[in-house]
Parts: sequence; structure tokens; C-alpha cells
Amino acid sequence: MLADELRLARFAVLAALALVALPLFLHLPGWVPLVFALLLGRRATLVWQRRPLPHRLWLMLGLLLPIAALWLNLRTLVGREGGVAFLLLLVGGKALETASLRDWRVLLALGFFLAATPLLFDQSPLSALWLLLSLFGLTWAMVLLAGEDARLSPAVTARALLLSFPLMAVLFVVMPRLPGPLWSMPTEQQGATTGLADSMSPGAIGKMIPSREPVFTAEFRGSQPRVSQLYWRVMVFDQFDGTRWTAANLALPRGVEVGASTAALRYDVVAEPFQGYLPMLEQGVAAGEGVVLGYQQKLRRVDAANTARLRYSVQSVASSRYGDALGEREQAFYLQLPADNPRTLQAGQALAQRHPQPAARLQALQLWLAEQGLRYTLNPPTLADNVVDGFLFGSRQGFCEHFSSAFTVLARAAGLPARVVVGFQGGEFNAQGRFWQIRSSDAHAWSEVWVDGSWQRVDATALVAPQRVDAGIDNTLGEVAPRMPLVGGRPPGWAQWVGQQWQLANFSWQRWVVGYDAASQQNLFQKLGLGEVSAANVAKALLGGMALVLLPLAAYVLYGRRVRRSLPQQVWQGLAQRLRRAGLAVAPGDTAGELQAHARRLTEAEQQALAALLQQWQRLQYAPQGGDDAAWRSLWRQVRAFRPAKVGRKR
Amino acid sequence: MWRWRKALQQWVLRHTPREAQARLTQRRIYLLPTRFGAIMLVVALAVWVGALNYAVSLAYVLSFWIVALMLLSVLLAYRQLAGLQLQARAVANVFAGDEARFLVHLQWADTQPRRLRLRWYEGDTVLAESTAPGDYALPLAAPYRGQLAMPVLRVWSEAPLGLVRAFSHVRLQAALWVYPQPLADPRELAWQGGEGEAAATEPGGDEFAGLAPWQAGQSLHRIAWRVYARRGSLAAREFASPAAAGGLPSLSWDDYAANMPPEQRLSHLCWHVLQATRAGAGLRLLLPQGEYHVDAGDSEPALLALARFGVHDAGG
Repeated sequence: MLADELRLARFAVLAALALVALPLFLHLPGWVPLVFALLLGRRATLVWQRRPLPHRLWLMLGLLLPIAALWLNLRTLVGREGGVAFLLLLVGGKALETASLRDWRVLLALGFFLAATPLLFDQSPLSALWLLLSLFGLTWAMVLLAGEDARLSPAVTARALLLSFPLMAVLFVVMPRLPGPLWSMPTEQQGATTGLADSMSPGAIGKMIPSREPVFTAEFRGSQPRVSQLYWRVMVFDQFDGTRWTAANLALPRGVEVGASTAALRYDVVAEPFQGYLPMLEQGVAAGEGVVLGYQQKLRRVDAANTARLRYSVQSVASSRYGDALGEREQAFYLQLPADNPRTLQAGQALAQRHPQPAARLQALQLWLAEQGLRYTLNPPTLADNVVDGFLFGSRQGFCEHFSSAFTVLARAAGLPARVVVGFQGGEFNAQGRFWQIRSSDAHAWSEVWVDGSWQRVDATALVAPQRVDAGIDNTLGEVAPRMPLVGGRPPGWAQWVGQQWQLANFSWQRWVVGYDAASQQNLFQKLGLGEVSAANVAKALLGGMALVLLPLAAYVLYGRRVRRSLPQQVWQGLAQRLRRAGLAVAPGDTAGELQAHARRLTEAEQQALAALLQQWQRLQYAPQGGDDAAWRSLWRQVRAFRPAKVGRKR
Repeated sequence: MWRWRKALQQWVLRHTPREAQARLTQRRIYLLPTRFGAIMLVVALAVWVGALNYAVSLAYVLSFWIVALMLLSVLLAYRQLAGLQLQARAVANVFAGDEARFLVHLQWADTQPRRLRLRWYEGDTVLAESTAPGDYALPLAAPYRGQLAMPVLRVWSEAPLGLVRAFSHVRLQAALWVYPQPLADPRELAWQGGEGEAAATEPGGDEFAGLAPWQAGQSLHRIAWRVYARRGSLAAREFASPAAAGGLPSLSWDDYAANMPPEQRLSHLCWHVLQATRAGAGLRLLLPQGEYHVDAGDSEPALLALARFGVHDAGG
């Protein structure tokens, strides 16, 4: 039943499907997209050779095998990976049973659905570019299936996509977003590509410092903070087994008290959760929509299982301490230490005996550490047993993990409840975008010691390498850079500028496209003076926005395709129009002679002017090259200047 | 469902007046999503739900772009029909059982190509696809004798995406006459009587008078195919006029038994008219409504008279 001219359309559908599925090679077990490609390829050869479709039985078999393999491979056919892989195989199978035009159209519609699946894995600008490419491929196939001429089809496709873009943009901005998901997704273990590990043993953070990969951005409202204030708290480790710090994940209801009543910093962060926790400046006092501030001042999503990127607002008071009433049992918990590292324990106990006052003891502990001749480096020697002893009394070289770990052990040994806080310190200010970019290399660890009813931040690294905190990691590493092949030294100025521009683009992308959620929508609505995102306001905005876009669009589509008149025609029509305006009954098809006959009712001077114009018009018409454009334009100006007075109404 | 459809059809037929020339304006252009358009809307909805649930902004982009394409398709499809002017005329009168043809003339003001399709309102086959202004011949079966007026025409377009269909119905002024279906009559009638046994039963038989160049408009039956095969030019066989002498032979409604159904009688008469024309004979056709003189070789008045028998002429 299909006409042969639709052969190209069928190839276009298959090609568009292949294009759509290509990014899935990055996110699915490689063989799944490969099977999909094979199924499409098989269909393409059948179309090419004009052979009939395979029997349903073969198709079933050819589909059941990969699905079984998928089950063995992923142990699931739902969720993000399993579901997408399953869908991909089914669409591949559908390609092998498309016969009628309607079948092909269903396949194409499935292709549109498939185009959404790579977005579940990645929403970078590159993905958006690919989406655009996929949309073009799919729409082109649609245009061909509708029977458009093959030569015209790319232009028709581009036109359709361009003209529909503003409509899409209005819908994107105005259609309401929900703050949470409709149903919760199965939690999936994601590889720790960026971010922090769920435990800390000296060495783990050192491995990620070389990476300058951006991890999150923050945007302050009002005044910008100082770099030394930027302690981005993410996780708290409170259990030590002698080599490794882990989180006990106690969940006690506790608020944050900040004694010093300085003004709170208000800021928005766009970040993905690290092990379920989101970065926030110390000391966080209020969390906005979508996030909740919990025990140990840890911030997490309301829907904790969701690992997607999120934009949230927080308020923090830049302070190095916050009040917290610890019970007896909690104090004991924060003092627990294994019997390893005897020399450190000894040193701590000795200091405790000399300084009975907790505040003075804390001071003494910091002084003691500073006097040990420790050196900050990213390439510390590896330590075996008794890592803290080995660091403090042996190698004396390390980075933030070593410092914070050693100081926390020391404080606990000295009888002060203490814990390790892991997060980021510092960031780079992008002056154009007025936001802070925090990178993997800003990852940091510090200690918190409980003294006199409040947790006091002690950044042991800063005791040894103060510039780490004041100037950021880049400057600290400047001295050690020669020893590290790839890492470290600041890039040259122009590269930094390019980098900042790219960051800005990325930030805007994250902020306005990927991070455009219920909260951003609310903000935008308020900025536009539309008020709350309510049904009535959405309807209003939708109507207004659509009218704004649709009216010019309709005008363009319906009336904009008029053929442009040539210059001679334009001049002639202009002349006829002038005479008509003067009240003469000039018909569209009148000749020059008839125009002059009509013009007998004009004044003498006007008649002469008209005669001159007509003569020139004819001269140009009969000129060898048809008259050049400049001459026609000059005549056009004269015609426009010709304004005969209105002739009297019926006499 | 079927009944509802029938009612809709009746409504459309009732509300489509006959007109000499139709110009499609927004008052008579209807727009509906096609089946494919409906599927695409479902896909957009599914992508939207996914975007909502997984908080994927780019999926919103995809979903809304599909919807935007739909909205744009409404404009583009409407644009295909807007301002279209249609006129029609019948090509020629036909015999019952043959296929009639109507020529539909399409024209529009601008020079942009349009992708239009035409079919009868009560039919499924696409009769014509047009991209340029011009005449398009639409076939229509003519099973019954009488006047055949052009039925309601459906003109539609799904261009350029196939998501939305713009359609309109027009009933154009064009009609033709359907002659009775010729039915062989073995009996010998009065007009064949005295003219010798020549053309008695075998039409165009042996009473062969010579050859003359064949001219367009002459019956194909008169072409001497054997001559054509030999010389490569068309020649018509000329027959001697059997009615050369005396008054015209007459063919009468009353030549048949009174109980013969009128249609069969007309079919027989039609057959005789054709035979006589083929033989180049003049005739007098006597029908209850009047008497018709048929000149030699011109069957048109007689055939028209037969076609109009008992029919009220609607004009056009």
C-alpha cells in the first residue's frame, strides 16, 4: 500500500531513531544499543532490498533473547537503566514489524519518546545540542512521511522547528512545575564520579584535589562573603576505627544556635547531593524549600532518595562556632577512640592534664600542633598502621585529611568531644555572572571541637598552611606544583578568562534551563508581576504568552508568504495608490492611458507631473536592461513625493 | 458510533449548499488532529509526566516542542486551504454503468505551492493530489440513467507534518446527463424494416461504402483497424445511408410490450439509436413526452431525450 516515494521516508525514520539512541551508548551496557542498531539495520536492509518483513515468530525470538540477557545483566527491567534499555529493545522490535504508513508513524512517535531517555542521564549543553539534532532528524522523517518533496523537506523541517520554538519557550516558562516527583524513583547506586566519599582515610581526598572539575555553584544575594568564610559543610564523620573515619548517621532532633547576631548571608546553591547531603555554608540557620536542615547541621533533600541536581536557598551566619547542648551520652560518643596511635593519645592526655579549662586546652592543642613542624603537601608518603602517629611523629607531611584527622584524634584524647567535617573550602568568584564556582579541588576537611556548650571549628590545615584558607587551593599548591606532572599551577590568564566564560555559560544553563524548577518559576512569576504560581495566574500567563507569540506567528504564516513585488510593479502600484487616494476610480488593471484619462479631474500641474512620471516609467520599462535598480529607486522616491490633492466629491 | 457518523454525514450534506464557485474561508475550514497527531499528543503527555517525575528540564523542552509543533501545524494546515477557489464542470455525458468525470479547477492567489487532496465526501479513495493550481479530473461512477450532479467534494490537507488535518466540504455546480445503458434488442424494428436486410442484425456489417480519414469525435467503432495496421493512419469506414430514400424511419416507445419496465425500454431504444447512428441513418424517435428528429450521424439529441425521460432538470 505504501507508495515507493515513501522509501526515503522510511530510511529517514530509521536514521532518526539511530541518531536518537546514539547517546545511550554512554549510559547503558554497550550491547543494548548495539542490538538496537542491529535491529534497525536489519529493517533498513529489508527496505533497501524491498523484501517482506520476517515472520512474527522470528521477531519474538530475536527480541526475547536480548530481553533475557538484559534481565541477567541488570536484574531489572524498570528504573532508569533497566527501563530505558527495555524500551530501546522493544522499539527495535517494533521497527521490524512496520508495514503500513500508520505503523511507520507509530514508530516515529516512539522515536520522539526515546529522545527523552538520554536526558534522564545527562542534561549538559551537549545533551541539549543532541536533543536538537534528534528533533531535527525526527521532524524531518515526519515531514517525509507526510509526503513532502524530498528536496524541500530539510527547509520545511527547519522552518517548522524554528517557528514552533517560541511557542515551546512560552510553554516551558509558564507551564507549572511541581516541587516534588509524582512517585519516588528506585534508588540507584551511582558511581561517585564527582563528590565526596562516604568515609575518610587519609589519601582519599588527596586523589580528587587534582581534578578542577566544577561541582556546584552558589549565588549570594546582597554582599559577597570573604573566601576565608567559605566553609561549605557537607558531611560529618564521627566514628574512628584507627585508620578510617565514618559517619554514624545518628538522627537526633537538633537545631542550630548561633550566638553572634551578625546578619545572615542569603544565597542559592545549585548542587547534586554528595552521599545524600548538600553543601551549605557554616553555620546554616534556615533552609529554603525542598531541603531540610538536620542533626549535625547536615542539609539534605526533602525527597532524600533523589540524587538529581537541585537549586535551593539557604541562610547562614558566617561564624566559626554554633551552640549545641550535648548530653552525657553524646559527649561520650564524641570522645570514643580506639587504642591505636598511642603516642598521639599520650600527647593529648598530657595536654589535658596541664590545661584543665576546656577553652584553654583547645588553645594549647592548636599551639602544640603548630609547633610540630608539619608540612602541607599533596604527595604525602603512605602510612601503614597507626596512621595518626605516623603522620604526627614520623612523616610530618600531609594535607587536610591528615590534619583534620590528627587534630580530632588529639582533641578526643585530650577529653574534648570532637568530630571531622568534610566539605569544600573556598571557591572562585565569577565577576560577570556574580556567582561562586566551587570545584572538586576545593574539597576540604576540618575538625569541630565541642567546648563550653558550642561546636568550635578548628581548621588544622590552616594552622600549618594558612594560605590554603585565605587564598584557596590554587595558590597553596603553587609551590608544590613542579612535583606534580599535570596538576596544580594556575592556568594562564587567557585560559582562565575562557574558563570563566564557559563557567558562566554553564552556570546560566544550570540556572535557567536545567535548574528551572518550581522555585525559579515562582521567582520569575514574581519578577514579571504575575504573583503566585496559581492556576489562575498560569492560565493568565499562558494566554498572554501564547497571544504574544501566536499572533505574530499567525500573521507571518498566513500573510507573510506573499510574493515580493518587483521594483517596477511596486512603483506602478504606488502610483495607482496615490491616484486612488486622490479620489480617482483607478482599477487594478488600468493602463497608463487609462490612468491619464482618470487624471483629467486633477489640476493642470498635477496632470503634468503624472505625465512626466508615466513617461519615465515607460522609458525605464523599455530600457535595454530594463533600467537599473538605482533609476527605479529614484523614480520610486518621486512617486512617493507625488501627492495629488483630493478631487472634489460628486459635483 | 456508526449511527453518529451517519448523522454527521447527513448534517454535512444538508449544510453544504451548491455553488458555482467556492472560496474557502475560515468559516468553512475545519481543523482536527489526525490519528498520528493524537499519538504524538500522547507521547508529549508521557514525556511531560516523565519530566515532571524525574525533574528533567530538557524533557519538558521536548514535550513542549511536540505540543508547539502541533499548534504550528494548525496554522500551517489552515494556511493550505485558506483562500482556495474551486470551480467544476462535467467533462462529457456518459452511458449508465460508465465512469463520469468532473474537472475541478483549483486556484489560489499567491504562487506558493500547496499540498491538497481531493475525494468525494462519501468515498475513501484519494482522487487527486495537487501542488499547483490547475484542473484535476475526478472520476465518479455513474450507475443510473438521469442527471448526475457533482456530489459533495472533500478537500483536505495534512501538510506539512501530518499532525493536523484541515478540511472543507464543497458542493460545486456541475452536472451531466447519464444516458441509458444500451441493451441489445434482437427484434427488428420499423426503421430497419424496408431498408433491406443489410444492417438488420449485424450492425456496421457488410454495407460498406468506402474509407475516409477518421476524425476526432467519430466513433471508435468506425475505425478500420486493419487499414490502420497496414498504413499507419486512421481511417473510418463509411457506410451507405440506408435511409436515403423516402421519409425518416421511426423508433417508438410503443414498439415494446406495455408491461416492459421503462428503464429496459429506454435501454433498448438507446441501443437502436446507437445502431442507427453508427449506420449513418436518420431517425424519428417517438417518446411519450414528444418527438425527436435525429439527423444522420448525430445521436446527441436522441440520447439526451432518453436520458431526460421522466427526469426533472435541476440545471447546471
